[in-house]
Amino acid sequence: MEDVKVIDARGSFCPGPLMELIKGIRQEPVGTTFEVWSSDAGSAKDIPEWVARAGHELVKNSEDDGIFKVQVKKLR
Amino acid sequence: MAEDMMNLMLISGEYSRLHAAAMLSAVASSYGKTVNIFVSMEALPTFHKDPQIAEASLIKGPVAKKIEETGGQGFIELFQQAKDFGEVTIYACGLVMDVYHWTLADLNPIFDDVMGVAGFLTKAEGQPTFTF
Repeated sequence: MEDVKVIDARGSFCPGPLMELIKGIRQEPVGTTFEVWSSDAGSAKDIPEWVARAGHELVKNSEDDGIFKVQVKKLR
Repeated sequence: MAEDMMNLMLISGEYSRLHAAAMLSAVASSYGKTVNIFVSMEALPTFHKDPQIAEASLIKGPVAKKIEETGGQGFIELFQQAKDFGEVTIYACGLVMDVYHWTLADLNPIFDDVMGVAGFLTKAEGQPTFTF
């Protein structure tokens, strides 16, 4: 099972969860997978847009009891 | 090349405009875009180091107040993040600096230099430029 770094951004509003993901991606090596937890529906739509533009991989985007979980793999 | 550069002119002291510009800057710089920001007119005093001057210059509508209530990041923090993410240069307008007799030491340290409108136009020429 691949190690997943959780970014718990629950309670933070757009663009907070995205900013936390960007900070995490800058700090970790290529191949790292992140899972952003967000209670903000806007971030669940916006993070995949950033991921596509920035050249990373959207692994999963799901909602679990009002918490959005966006999984992203750093590709470059 | 144009697609790798973005220029912003901050003119207004409205919190919502400054916040929107800061969000755009942070995301654009994270993509690798070079961002030049020229801060002029009513926008510049909102970056003053003295919180009383900065606060008195800010115009806050209902959304701005809600962002503050919910503990969201402020626009200066977002501009700082934009600088941390990539190549973002922030210029203070020479006119406003002159009329208030300010130096860069009077402003938040996110500023890189003082620039006149001719200098900014030279930088921005032929590149996408947005005004807030």
